[in-house]
Amino acid sequence: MKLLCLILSFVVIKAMAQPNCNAYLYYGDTLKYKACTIAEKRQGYYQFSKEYQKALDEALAVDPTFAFAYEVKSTAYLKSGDFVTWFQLMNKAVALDPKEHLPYRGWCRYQFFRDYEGAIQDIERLDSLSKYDIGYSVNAEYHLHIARALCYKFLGQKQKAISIIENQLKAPNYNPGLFDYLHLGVLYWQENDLERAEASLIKQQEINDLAENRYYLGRVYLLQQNITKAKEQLQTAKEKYLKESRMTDPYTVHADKIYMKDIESALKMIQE
Amino acid sequence: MRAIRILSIMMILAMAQCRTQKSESEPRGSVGDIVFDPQTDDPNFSLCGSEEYLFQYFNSGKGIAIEGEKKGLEQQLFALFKNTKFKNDGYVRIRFIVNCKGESGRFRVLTSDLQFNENKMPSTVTEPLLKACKEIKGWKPLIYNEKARDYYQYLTFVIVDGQLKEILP
Repeated sequence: MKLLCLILSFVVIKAMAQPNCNAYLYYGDTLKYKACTIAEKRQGYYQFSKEYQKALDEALAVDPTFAFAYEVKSTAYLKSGDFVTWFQLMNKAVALDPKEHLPYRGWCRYQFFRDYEGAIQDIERLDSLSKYDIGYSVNAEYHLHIARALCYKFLGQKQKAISIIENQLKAPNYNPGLFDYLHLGVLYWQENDLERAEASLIKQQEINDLAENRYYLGRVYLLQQNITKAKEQLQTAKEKYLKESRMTDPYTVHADKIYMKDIESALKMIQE
Repeated sequence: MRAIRILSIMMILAMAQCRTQKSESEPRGSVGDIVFDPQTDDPNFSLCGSEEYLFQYFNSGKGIAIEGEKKGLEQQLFALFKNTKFKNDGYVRIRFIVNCKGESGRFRVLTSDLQFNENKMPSTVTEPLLKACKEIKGWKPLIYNEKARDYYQYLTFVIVDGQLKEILP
């Protein structure tokens, strides 16, 4: 139930991302109040549309320090692959309000651009500025410390990545994310710590049972030369893959995602 | 507990759909639009639907749609550039349209350094990537309301130390 509440809370936060304009009025910032109400005109329009972008341009013309408008304006550029405009807009948002906008910039640098160093810098800066938990990725799938761990992994620092994930899983009141144990299991497997890899991947089954955890578990059993168990897991991975019970993202590709070719190659290894 | 977890996952997927689905594709004048340029674009490439309304690749909710999946595309492109030493590091994005028949056209190039500062990379870097993009076969059309649609797709090439390191998204 905790996990559901957590996910819902983040979904709600993102759905209600438009600030309460009256709050600016309450604090006496009439300029930001005006910009905020103008930005509301974008609602009902698609992010890429002229109307959506124009409402935000008008809001920024009234108050160029309205950081929220830069971030929401940037999203269409991010999704269209225009990293130049996206980054310029996000730099403005972060310069004006780092605590509020570093989570989005840091996460997107990882998810969309595989800019591991940049993502680490943003998340670690956010951590240094935050008294409380630094929170989750914009799609609510990852705690930002888990994302940071994956960046270290892709920079070749696998032990550091393991340590960050282990610490996050031990953090008080932390509920494991949708893929935490999968990534941890893969890291253990890559580091040849097969017992821990097996335990993590089995734990993943309880949280979010996908083709990916079954595939990597099959690979662990292959290394342990337990052919029967390996075959069983790889067959299950294949079934799950065909039923689309696998890592899927509308925009990008998850770390440790597998494809049918991977499963078939592993099954071929058994036959040989 | 298991049921709650499954429900949670379904809700996340549903939210992903909410973020990406739209009742209609967006009209021209939107971010990232590519208008036909007779100077550079193939006149034989045509859209199946209206010029005014095109989808985006992520509207399917499933990412890149190509025969052999993204892994096949990566294997093909990494093999092609395995021995290529590029002169510049940075990001090279090639945005284009895939029509309802799976044909591609109207390619546009954007380049930057690794800090996302726009630059003009030499054609020795961009041309081979552009040529490779144009030769990619197997794009799948985007299906919406049981009809194949035209859509925008892009590929971003990340070059580090002169080597092709990533193919995104």
